[in-house]
Amino acid sequence: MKKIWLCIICFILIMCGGLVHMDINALADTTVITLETNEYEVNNNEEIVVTIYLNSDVNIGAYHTEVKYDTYRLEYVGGGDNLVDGKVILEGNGYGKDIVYKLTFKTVSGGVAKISCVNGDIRIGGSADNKKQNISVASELMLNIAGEDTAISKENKDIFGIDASVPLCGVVDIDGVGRYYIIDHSEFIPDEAVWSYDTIKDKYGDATYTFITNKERNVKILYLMDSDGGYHMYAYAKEMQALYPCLEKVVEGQNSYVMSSNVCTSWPEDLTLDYVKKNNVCYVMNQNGECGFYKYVDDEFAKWSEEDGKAFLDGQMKIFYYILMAAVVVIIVVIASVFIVNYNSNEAKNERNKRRSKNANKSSDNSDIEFIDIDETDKVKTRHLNVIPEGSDKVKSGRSETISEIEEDEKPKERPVISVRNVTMKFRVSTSDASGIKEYFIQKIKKQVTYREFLALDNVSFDVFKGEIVGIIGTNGSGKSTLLRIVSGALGPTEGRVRVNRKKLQILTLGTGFDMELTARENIYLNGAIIGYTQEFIDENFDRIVEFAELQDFVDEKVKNFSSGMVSRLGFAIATIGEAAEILILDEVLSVGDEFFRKKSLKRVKEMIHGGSTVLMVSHGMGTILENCTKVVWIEKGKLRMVGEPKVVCDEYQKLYDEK
Amino acid sequence: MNRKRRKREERQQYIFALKQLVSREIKRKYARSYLGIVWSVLNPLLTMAVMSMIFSTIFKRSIENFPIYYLTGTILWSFFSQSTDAAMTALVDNKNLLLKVKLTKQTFILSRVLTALTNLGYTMVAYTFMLIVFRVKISVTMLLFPLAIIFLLLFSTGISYMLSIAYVFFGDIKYLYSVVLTIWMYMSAIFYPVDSVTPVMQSIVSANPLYSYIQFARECVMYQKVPDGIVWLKMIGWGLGMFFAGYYIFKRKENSVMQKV
Repeated sequence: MKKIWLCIICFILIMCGGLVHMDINALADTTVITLETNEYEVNNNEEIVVTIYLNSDVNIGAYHTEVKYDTYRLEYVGGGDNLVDGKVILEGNGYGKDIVYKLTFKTVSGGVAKISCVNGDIRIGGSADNKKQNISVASELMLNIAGEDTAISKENKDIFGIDASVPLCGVVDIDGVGRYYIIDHSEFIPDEAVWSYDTIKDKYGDATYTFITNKERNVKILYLMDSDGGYHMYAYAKEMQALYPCLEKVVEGQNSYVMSSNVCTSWPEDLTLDYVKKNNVCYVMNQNGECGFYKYVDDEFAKWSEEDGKAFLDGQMKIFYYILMAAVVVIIVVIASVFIVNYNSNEAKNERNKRRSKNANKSSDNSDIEFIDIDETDKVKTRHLNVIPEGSDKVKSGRSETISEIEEDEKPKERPVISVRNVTMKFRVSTSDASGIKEYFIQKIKKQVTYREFLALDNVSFDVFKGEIVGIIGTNGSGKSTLLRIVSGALGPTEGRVRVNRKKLQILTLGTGFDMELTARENIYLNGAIIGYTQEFIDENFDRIVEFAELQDFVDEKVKNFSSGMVSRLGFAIATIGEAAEILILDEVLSVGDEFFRKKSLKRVKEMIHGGSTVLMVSHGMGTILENCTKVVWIEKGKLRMVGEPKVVCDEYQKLYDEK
Repeated sequence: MNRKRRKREERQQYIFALKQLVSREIKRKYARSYLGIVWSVLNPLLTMAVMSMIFSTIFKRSIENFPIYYLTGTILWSFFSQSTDAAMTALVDNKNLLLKVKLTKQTFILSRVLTALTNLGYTMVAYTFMLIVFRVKISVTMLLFPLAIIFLLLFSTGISYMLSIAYVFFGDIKYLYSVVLTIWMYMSAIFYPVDSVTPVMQSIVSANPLYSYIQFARECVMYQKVPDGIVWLKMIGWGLGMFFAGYYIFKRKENSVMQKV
């Protein structure tokens, strides 16, 4: 606790010190330059004396200042040290803290002449390092010289390029009209200004000008002169940094000046841009300098009042309220109707269910027979086969007979359907498990991030020929799934290649893409689309799918309410409804579900197999492999251990287990 | 001939799959609500009403027709932010499907972007309704409006590609991106006039790609004028550029994604 207090106190002290230090510095070593004269109203052709005081709080050493004067109206007579470029130079070495100069000028023209001090360089006297002093100019002089201002034309010509006899102080280019000249209102106000006015200084762009304003100071006017000497009245809009023309019109019987609404810096509470644009609202000033907002509608000026503004705003607000009300009404209506509909349909559903349950028992028997109908194209082969009963031995012999029959019928194929050549799959696994950027960087800094290469598959090669049913076995983590993914094309091997016609490939997996929030019907379409069925195909086979899965009563029910068995049935039905592709990959399809389902799925898969497809399957069930496969590939820890007859390979595999 | 027909069938099937994925996203979004799709119309209307009530008095001097000004900006912005935010997690959410299914990975990202586009379609109903209510003048330039949507779609898709890849490797980007979106929204001059901020901010806003789309849309719908060449250039440039950049990055990193996901 103590430490914290110490820190706070130190901090405050330092801040105070800093502030004090800054202030003191500002005051030290400053020279104040003042210009004075006895008379500010002088006559033409007279000599006047201007006194210049340099007062410092330290000794003045070497100094150099310049005094600028109105060269058109004054003539320098003497008193300074030098005259360069129309500026009187005062320079030298001072003694003491004060210096005084008396300059004499002669007036040569009427008008207003300005004398000011510019560019000073004053050093501290007697200091070793010749430091500069700060300079503060206290005043400048404006002399009013009586008489005609004969110099003004020349002055205007030199500065602005126009021969004019009124004092100008700037130029401005107005769109569509050309170049106008800003009249210096601190010296001259044209007679056109017949209304009650006052003057005020304000900044426009980079320079400060003198504007004419009214009593309330809510509008600033400038008179601009064009190249022919005509005067134009413009109003200044500070926010827009623009000048707007003022038009003379009769408003409510009086001669008034009409200008853009932007001229007024603060609009009344209820005036909005929408209203201004819609009703052509403008800002009007009458001869007394009183201003107000007027609408210009139908060639008539009408005073804008707050009620108008309020009414308009209320109109706008009303629209918003209507929208909100409409939204609330819609919400209520929809929710109410949903409740009513639900109520009605529930009653109807209960009726339907009662009727359905009477017929339910009959439906399950039909599906088996239906499915056998599908294989109507490849009839020769299927008729040779029985619908396969239980018992492995019978199956095996049955299988091999028919395979040899098929092989004799067709020409022996020399090219393999799937060719796996020297496939190696390396995964770059980082030994850390950085789940986010922070941990990654921390570990990188700590140099804990290293990578090791994990060899999922090591130089695996084998072939699968048409009509073969190849089973892949191996202990967990041996790379079976990786191999399937490489064959299917989802993963690219690090080395080696796989030759297979991917267009004829179909992967059977269950429940891919099922979305719990959708109904069974919607999921059939979704899943079907993802697998690759066209819409027409699904439309044609929709009823078959539903019947195979035995979900006739649940078609429009959300899948999240299904039991796991129902989900598997549905997934399987969708996946296997199509005619079997020429190359099938079964990824653990046969190890899912209850007893009854397994029988059914096995039956269907066998139908697909016997359709002449080439099959690549992964299964953990030895029985399944032995029953159905013609060839078994044993992958152990990424390496190809054995390829051959199912019985042989499986026996070897068993031996490994028994040893363990 | 056979190949052509097969290609056409494949494309039809692809579009069918895409449509199914999009409809899944939409159904999932409104799964538990009764109003469902109606919200896509109501939501922008309600926010517009609220925002207008608050802001139209502040900007009464500088924005004409604040509700439409705001609504134009907000529907385009919502489309962009919804599409990129949803698409960011597309690959990770569907990781089961990625390995098992023939569909290309872009499909998943595209499905989410198209979902947002469908939503935009529904909000256009609200938008058209508001145009009528606020009596915006109908003009030929309104036909240019779909162009803004098309190029914004390309832009969003490109960014979605990049984000989805990044999210697979770094989950943190989800949170980072939500902050980025917030800042980005404030720099898009949706609810304030560009002239009212400092020149530095103004240059940031005009460099903002989203703003070029919003500006284009506002100019052709609200002010009935054909936008300047620079706006066209920005709009098309950002759209195409981002799309190809995103696609390129996606293609290169596709395989490493499969390993990580």
